Amino acid sequence: MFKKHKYQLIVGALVFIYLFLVYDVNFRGPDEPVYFAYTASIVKDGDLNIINQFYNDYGQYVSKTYNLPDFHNHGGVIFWAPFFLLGKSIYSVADWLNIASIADEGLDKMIKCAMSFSTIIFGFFTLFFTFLLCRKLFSDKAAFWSTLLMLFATPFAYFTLFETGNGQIVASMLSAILIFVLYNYAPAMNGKHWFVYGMFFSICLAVRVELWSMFILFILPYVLILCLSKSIRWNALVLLIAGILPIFILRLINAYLKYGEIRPEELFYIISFLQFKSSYQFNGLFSTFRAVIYSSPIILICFAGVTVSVVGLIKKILKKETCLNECFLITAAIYLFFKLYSLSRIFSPAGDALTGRCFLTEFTLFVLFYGYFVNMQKGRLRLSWIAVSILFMGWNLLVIAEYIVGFDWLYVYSSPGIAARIFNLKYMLFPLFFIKDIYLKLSFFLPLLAFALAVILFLKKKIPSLNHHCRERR
Amino acid sequence: MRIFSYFTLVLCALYFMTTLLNIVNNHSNAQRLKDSKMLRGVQVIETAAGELSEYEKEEHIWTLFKQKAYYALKGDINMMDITKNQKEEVFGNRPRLRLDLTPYRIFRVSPAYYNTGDRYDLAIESYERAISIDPQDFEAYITLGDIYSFIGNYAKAIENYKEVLLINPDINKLYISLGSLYNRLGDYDRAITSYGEALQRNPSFGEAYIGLASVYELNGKYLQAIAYYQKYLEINPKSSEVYRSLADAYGNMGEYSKAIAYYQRHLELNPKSGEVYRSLADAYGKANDYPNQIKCLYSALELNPKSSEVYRSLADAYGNMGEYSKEIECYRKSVAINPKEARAQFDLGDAYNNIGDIENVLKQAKELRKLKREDLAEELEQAIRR
Repeated sequence: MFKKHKYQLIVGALVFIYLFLVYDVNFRGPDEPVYFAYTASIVKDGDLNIINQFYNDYGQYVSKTYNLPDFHNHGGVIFWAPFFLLGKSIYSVADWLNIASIADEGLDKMIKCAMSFSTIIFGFFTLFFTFLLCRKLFSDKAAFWSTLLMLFATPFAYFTLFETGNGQIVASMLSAILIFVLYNYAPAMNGKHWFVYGMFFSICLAVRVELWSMFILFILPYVLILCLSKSIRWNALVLLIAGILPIFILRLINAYLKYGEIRPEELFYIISFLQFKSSYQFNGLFSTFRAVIYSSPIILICFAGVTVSVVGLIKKILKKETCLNECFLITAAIYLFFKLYSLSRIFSPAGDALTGRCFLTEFTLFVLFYGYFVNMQKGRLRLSWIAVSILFMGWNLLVIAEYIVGFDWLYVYSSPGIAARIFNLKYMLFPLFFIKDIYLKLSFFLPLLAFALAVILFLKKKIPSLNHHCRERR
Repeated sequence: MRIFSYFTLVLCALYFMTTLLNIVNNHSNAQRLKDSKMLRGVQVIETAAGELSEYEKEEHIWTLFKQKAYYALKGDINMMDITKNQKEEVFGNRPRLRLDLTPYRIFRVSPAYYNTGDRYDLAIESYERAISIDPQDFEAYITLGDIYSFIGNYAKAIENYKEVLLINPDINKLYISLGSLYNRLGDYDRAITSYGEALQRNPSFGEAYIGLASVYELNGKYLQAIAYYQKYLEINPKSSEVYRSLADAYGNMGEYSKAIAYYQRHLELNPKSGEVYRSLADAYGKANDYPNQIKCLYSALELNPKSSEVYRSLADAYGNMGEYSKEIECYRKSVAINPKEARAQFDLGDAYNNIGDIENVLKQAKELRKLKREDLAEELEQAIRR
């Protein structure tokens, strides 16, 4: 297996090493205080009430149950808590053994380092599943380069490496798995599998409730198409929805504990839309202030991919051929268009962050469409598209660099010409290319690695003996 | 598909456990917080069906404020007015609960990484423009105040914060910022008034007590400072730093037994604080309790074995107890760690002089001359003559 996938494994390891060396350990980010507080609360207090973690900022307002009536999703804690505990344990052991170099860093820093590490793990798995999905549609090489290019041509790298305190990267991993399983296994899935898929989706909702739109506009229509084409039975649809219920009920219980009434997080978004729809008139696609396409123009090439897949679909319909792949792409595209359109009307929907943050959960789809389009081109045309893509990647990095230092606000007033702006790329050097806090990272990663190796060696030792036992029985 | 199923089941089990923990602990923890003084004066907010909670409204007020600032900076007065009206339609003249003090990443997120000082003037210009378009934009005043405070122009910062309070007097944190700025300018009366105003609005505003205590402490009014530190501890009894401040205040008043008690409380909460072991040792020393002073200094050495200063303090303590050989040993260790410290070299020479070891005193005088401290070398030689 190693020989067969040697090249991919080495490149994968190199990407992971790069992410590991460069990531920022401070777990800073747009939603960091809330997510960090939820994780600390479940580990330290055993509850999801973050009022004591947030006392200084919001102490004066509590819900009927004396909880903080916060609308952020708390589902991410099941992913972050193990890392929180890991950081805490390593600090405690270092403190107990009197290893001053680690203990002096402080518990808080150690925990944040471990939680930031979780972001690169989730980011890495997003890339991994995206790559796996893409290679089903086009060559390994094209899948690899498309994934890598999109990593830097969208804010994905920035939010994986620098503003690590966000819920989007973990959600993007879940979304990549959702899409991967849907594309790969859906036609062959039995009723039990659809129920499990529904359960998995409800976990995704606990992490980011916005993923409902992905369900309604992409997953559900695709499953309907599968049912209509008789690829799967209709009961799959019922089981899929039934699978969502158990975790949804648990979420309602948590909501009741928080508000003193059954009030799922979904309500926040619905009420917000109803109350504020009149203010949704911003040009969030092309405006020079954090707009999605302005920041990451590579999305335009993804749209070209959508066009190609529509043409493919029409051709196949005319020839009366099976067109499940194209249907998958078209439903995904409808969802993408809807999300882009609806969010782009809101002013800075990602809060005090790049709007592209809201589209990290669609990273896999963007890569898919990008790769699909570029892979269709031949010869010089393909090379020119790659050259354009590299230019777009540079532009994306420039916009992020300007956002980091606050020039995005300053440029609202007046922006200098590109010749003056190009030098702002230097601000991107630190987040993307500087090795940071390596000693601190190694201090928790090496024990983790040693433990993982010990487990592998233990299992290796066990497996021959098991085989031997089996042979004896035979 | 099997791996996916197992993975999903593990995730569901984890979420189930999280919910179970929340069910078991949420009520009791909330009750404990309710009973504690921490949530004194909190406002319980109702969330009516179909309505956003006060807390949730924050998110939208934030967006509308930012949207307004955006159009103001862009010079699109029409859109700015539309946004302003929308905000007022939904929220009336309701102030924001949460202050977003990070509107410009330039000043907050990466100041250590990027030296962008030359951009402050541009930022100030932009905000002044925003204010000229909408003189009620108190958030712009806050940011201007922040910027001026950051670049050290405290008078201008105060001016801007005051403008904010004229528009919206409910932003409590600003009274603290004002108090701190007055404190820095040495205008203690105004600092006290500002902190007092914050407390009047929210009696459990801990930062105000700390601010008041620090003003009184700076003026040598330790009793008042102590009273405010104690009030802060009623709200947050686990603040190790405040125990330390209390100990310092008692130490300054010469009440060493109380200072010792509070340093010990600090160390219970934060046992890794080497500096506090030294302060505690100092307090023991002043109370003439040399054995305990020595004990504390050894604890400080455990945390930082290469501190020449701790060895010097140890030597002093042994000297006070008349244990000259140990005194000399400690001075020697101090000098070995930091041979360029002239004061330690001098003290070692002085210790040798106490036991009549003239040869070593002269050696120390020589060392001092190497360090170009002729004055200390001569002082040592005079000590021999005496």
